[in-house]
Amino acid sequence: MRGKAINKIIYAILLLLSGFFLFPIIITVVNSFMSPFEIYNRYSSTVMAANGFDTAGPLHFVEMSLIPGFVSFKQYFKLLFSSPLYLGLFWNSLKITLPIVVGQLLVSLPGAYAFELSKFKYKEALFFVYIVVMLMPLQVVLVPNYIMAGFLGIKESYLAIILPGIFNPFGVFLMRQYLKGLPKDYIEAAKVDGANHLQILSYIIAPLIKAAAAALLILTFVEYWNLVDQAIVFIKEASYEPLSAYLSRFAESGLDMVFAASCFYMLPTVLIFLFGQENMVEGIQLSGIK
Amino acid sequence: MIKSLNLKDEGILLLLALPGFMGLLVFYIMPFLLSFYYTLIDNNITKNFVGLKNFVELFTSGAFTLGLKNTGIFMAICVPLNMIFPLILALLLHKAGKLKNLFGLIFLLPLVIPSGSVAHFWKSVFGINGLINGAFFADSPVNWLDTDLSRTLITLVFLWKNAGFNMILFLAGLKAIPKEYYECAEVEGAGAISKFFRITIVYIAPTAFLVFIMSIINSFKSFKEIYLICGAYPHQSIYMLQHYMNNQFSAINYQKLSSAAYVLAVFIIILVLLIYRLQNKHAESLK
Repeated sequence: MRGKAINKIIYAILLLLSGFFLFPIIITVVNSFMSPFEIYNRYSSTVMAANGFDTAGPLHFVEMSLIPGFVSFKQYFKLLFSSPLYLGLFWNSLKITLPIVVGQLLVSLPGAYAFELSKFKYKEALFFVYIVVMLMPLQVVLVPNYIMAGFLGIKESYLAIILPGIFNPFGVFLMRQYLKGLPKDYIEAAKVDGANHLQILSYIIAPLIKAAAAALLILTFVEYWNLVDQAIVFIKEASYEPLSAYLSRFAESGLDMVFAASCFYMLPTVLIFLFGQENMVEGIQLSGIK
Repeated sequence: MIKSLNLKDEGILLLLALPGFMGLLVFYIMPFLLSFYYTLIDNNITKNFVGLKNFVELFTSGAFTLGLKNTGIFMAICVPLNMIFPLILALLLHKAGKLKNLFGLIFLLPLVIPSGSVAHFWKSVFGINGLINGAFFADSPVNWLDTDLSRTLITLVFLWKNAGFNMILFLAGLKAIPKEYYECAEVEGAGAISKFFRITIVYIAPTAFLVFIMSIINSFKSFKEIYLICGAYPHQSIYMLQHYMNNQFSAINYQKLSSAAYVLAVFIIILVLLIYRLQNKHAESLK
């Protein structure tokens, strides 16, 4: 009896918390289906005839709603068909994110495997360096990266962002955490049978680490799809920016498609998350136990 | 014979690790070490050796110490909260039945939402004509993001985005604790509170170290949110080291920026060393 009551309380708390977690996302999605006119009425700070029922002060306050006055696709229409800048910036985001995701995966797995199996005396000391680099905020390597980019002649190109992204030590860290949890017997048995490291890596390890690879793929995609810091220092021209950095400035030029723009931009990460969440959760979890 | 085989083995492993290691060397470590040069000169043109002058100036300049202080305070608040709150979430979910996975997904979802996509939402809640003012302070509205409360609000946004990830880690940690431990404790008459502190906390500690590391990384990353919501010149209580460093970069003051980077790097190395020691101590105490 008492157990049931406690269960109900737990569910009530979870429900309440879900509200807090979902509210910003739901509002953004719902508002993207409001007409630009309605958005102005709800979000504009100036008192207008259309929202003039609270003319008491000089300010009009935001009125959020979970239901649009009427459903409209006008924001999306405008966004996709009459704002070439938006699609251009979306494309920039893809051009930066995809190479980093592929590169991270290719570099991290062999790196982590080598770290885990090597008997090199100073490997833990070396791994310590990886962790320190991983913990540094981006700005610490700003000047170094900028100088190196100049040296390599890629200052004006996305490569100045992509290459450091590919070699971000987070991937090696995550994959090694995961490999630690795998039973070493598999590897020993394969070695006894005469398999070499490349064979072990591609036939034994690769199938076993599907979840960790999925976790790394999703986390890396999410991370660089949300790229801001590098863009504000490296990219001078707005049309070269990734959308992640420009998005918050969308509101400055007008509220009429802010929500559709925000929504459309979160679509790729949300889709990848929904498709890959099972693997992702498993991958993150197995990396955390050891 | 065995030795030569081992050597060959190590050679292959070295080859596997090499591409990643070279990348780390070329894009992180070498440039960072080379930038030490900038900490020792007066400017980019005359390039006179000035010793530790840049570091002295750094600590006497208000902007740097403000950024360092704020970053420190923000981490001291956010990192513990980002461990306690997710642990509570995980404990709740651990006890929940069928809907466990659904709730877990909901709490994890903000992690994948690009910060820019909800920046306008947060402004519409905390801004001058925002939801909060409209509901409670319509007579004397203030932009809450431009007050001393801004730190608390950014903390809230930080937890909203990052709690889910740590919750997932803790959930795995909770699952890995054998049920027998609790049953044993019950037989010996332990209450819920002593079970929590004597079993749950002790055996979840290895997970907590990873959660701690992730929280530090993410607390640095919340600069994104601050920048997108409050801009390049936010309220002075959320002016972070990253703001300072970005501004030095724009001003092409590589000397100050590199010096600041070295100071921060020293702090982080000390922090990681501490984590390592704690982790090893704990691992030994479990043996």
